[in-house]
Amino acid sequence: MASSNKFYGIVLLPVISIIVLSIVFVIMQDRQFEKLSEEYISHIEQNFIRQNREAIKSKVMLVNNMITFENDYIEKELKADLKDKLAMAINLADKIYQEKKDRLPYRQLRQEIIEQISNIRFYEGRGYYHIIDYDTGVAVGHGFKEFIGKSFENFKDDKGTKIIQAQRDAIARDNPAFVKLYFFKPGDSKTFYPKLIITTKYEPLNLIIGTGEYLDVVTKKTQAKIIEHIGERNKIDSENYLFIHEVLNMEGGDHFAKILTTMASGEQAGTLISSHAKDAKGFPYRDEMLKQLKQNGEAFVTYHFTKPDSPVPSPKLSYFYYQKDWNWILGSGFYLDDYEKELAVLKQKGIEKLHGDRMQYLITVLVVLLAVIAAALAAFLRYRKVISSYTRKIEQQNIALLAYQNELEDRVRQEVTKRQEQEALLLQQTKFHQMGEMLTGITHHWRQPLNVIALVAQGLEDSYEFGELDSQVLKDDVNLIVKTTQQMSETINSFRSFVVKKEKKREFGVTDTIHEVVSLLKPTLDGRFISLEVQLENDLHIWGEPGYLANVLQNILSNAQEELEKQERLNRKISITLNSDQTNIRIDVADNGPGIPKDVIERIFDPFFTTKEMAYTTGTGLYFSKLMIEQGFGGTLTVRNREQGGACFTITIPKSDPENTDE
Amino acid sequence: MNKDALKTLSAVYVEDEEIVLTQLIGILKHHLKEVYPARNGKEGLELIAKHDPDVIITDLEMPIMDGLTMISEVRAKYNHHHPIIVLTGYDDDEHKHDGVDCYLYKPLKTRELFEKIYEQAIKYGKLKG
Repeated sequence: MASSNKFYGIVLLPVISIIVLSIVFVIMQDRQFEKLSEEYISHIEQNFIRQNREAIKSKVMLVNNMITFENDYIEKELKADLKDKLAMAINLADKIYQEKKDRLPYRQLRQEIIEQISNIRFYEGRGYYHIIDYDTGVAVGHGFKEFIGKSFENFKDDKGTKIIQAQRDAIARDNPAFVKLYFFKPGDSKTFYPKLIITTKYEPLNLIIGTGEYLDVVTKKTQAKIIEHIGERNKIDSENYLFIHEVLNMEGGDHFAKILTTMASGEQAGTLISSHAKDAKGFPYRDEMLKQLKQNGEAFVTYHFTKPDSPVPSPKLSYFYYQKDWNWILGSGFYLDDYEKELAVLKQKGIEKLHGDRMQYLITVLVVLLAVIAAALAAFLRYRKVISSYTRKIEQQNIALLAYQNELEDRVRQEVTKRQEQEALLLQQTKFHQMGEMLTGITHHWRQPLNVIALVAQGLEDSYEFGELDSQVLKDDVNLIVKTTQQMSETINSFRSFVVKKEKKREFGVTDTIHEVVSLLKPTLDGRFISLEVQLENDLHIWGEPGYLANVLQNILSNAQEELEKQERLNRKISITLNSDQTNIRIDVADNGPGIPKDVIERIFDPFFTTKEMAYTTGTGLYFSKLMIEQGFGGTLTVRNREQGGACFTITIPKSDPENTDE
Repeated sequence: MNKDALKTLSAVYVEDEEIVLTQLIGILKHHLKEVYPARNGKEGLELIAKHDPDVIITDLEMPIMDGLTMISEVRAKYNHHHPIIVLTGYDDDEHKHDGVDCYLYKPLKTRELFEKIYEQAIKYGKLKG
């Protein structure tokens, strides 16, 4: 079935569309996948580098934290130690004071205590006490004898702090108190070396007693410890070795730093290094390092080194941190190629994962696709039945519609005919109202022939008078009068039969009347070789004047006869049929002539209309016939051209009511 | 009525109906000096201009130019110079005209016509009574 094929198309089209769209979608997604995998691998790479950067940085920062911790610890430890040292002196002073205060005079006692404390040495001989008269600021006891007796009141450290006043101020807040003073060292007037001072006011003797220690001395010890620790560590873990440089000149230069831990490259501790040193590819990596350190305090530098076991330079990424407190550069690095294998493994894993995802995605799409197709097919099978049943219904409805359409057309045709008849009827009524005018017309027509007759008659007389009246003039004039009067007679007959002549209305047999007319006309028709076919139903009665009906039939038959006479052929025939229905009788008078032309049939019942070329003919025959049927019998006279040829006049008249015998 | 006097008169007769025209012209020719037949108002006006007849006799209903129009033109052009006699079948107001001197109705009595011609000719000074 063609409709079924179309239906398949309608159902399969979306399925095909879905498949095509899916394929396009998959291809697009796959491209996206490739792009994504590239991104993913570069991401892995970056991530790997980032992780390693973080690793070396955290390693370095660990050392830095250790240094910071140690540095803080150095001060704390020193403070505790200095407290002990001071306490030692104060205990000694108290002991002597308590023992001898009653026995010795104040000055002597004071001097003895000062001397006793001044003699104490500690910190490998470096440590001593300073004893200052609180009020005057004069040193009364000191590790260095040459200072005794000198006033330190105006003595300032290398940062400009008045050392005595600073101690007095500190003691006012805290007793014992710590004060930090800064001094240059011999041969180094650039670096302030902090010296931690502990000081207290010994009230019984009105003395300031204190001691101190240079912090760097302690720091150096700690540094040495850390360097040793890192060195040991590097020996154990050579791959992740850390290095420490001591900065000599932050601005760089040939001897900008000193190596503190032996490098993997073999450079020994204590070697002075140049910032201008270049890597295997000629890149001044230390200058780059210094530049970043000065800016950020840390540096990441990638440079190339030829490893001992390799003929070609390998890229190396190193992290450097500037330890301000100790003026150290801490650093660690890794060879990128050492991790290439590891990276390759990671990349491979990543790609495998991506491929897995891609496969999973494709399978998902395929499953969804199959599900959609299956659903579409199921829907197709399900609705094919429904639709074919609908198709059948629609076809049935189409047939019904067609029938209904035909019926409608018939009804419209009937209505149109009915309406045309009604209009025709209306027209006839109008024509009847025009009868008055018609009478005026007849009068006028009469006046003319009458005038002619009058003139001819008077002319005769006149001719006679003037002696012109011969037989020819007389014959012509008489003929003219006779002809004119005959024409007038025709008009008057038509008029008389309808208007003037009054027959009594009665019930009569239609069949009889038709027989009378037929018997009257039959000889004439026979003589002209026109056959007459008569089919009459019997016992049909109507009410009216039989003469009117006879007149009308005569008129119609005469017309038919005249038309058939024009036909030069055999088998010329007129048929008269009489039949009836419940209410009406119907007389059909038909001929087998050529029928009535269209322009004639429209006006055939008009007054004065005629097809005969005769002067003064009123042509009122059919007009009066129609009027007689309508007015005399309440019937109708119509004409039509038959399909089989020829014209047919139809007279329809209501049957007489047997009970209605009025008039 | 002086028949000899009639014999001195000329007339224009306007009638569209050929039989009527022929018949009446035949009679008029016996009694008048000259009769000029016209078949419509236009022909009538031309003959009047040409022959200046003593009397104008006309029908009313005609093609090309009807009688009433012709009468209006004659009166406009020549004023009351010609007696005008109308021969008509209609006896109603629609077929009347101020310029008409007398009406005669169809069927026509010729004697009556000649009497009117004579009467009007005297009235218009075409004859000496």
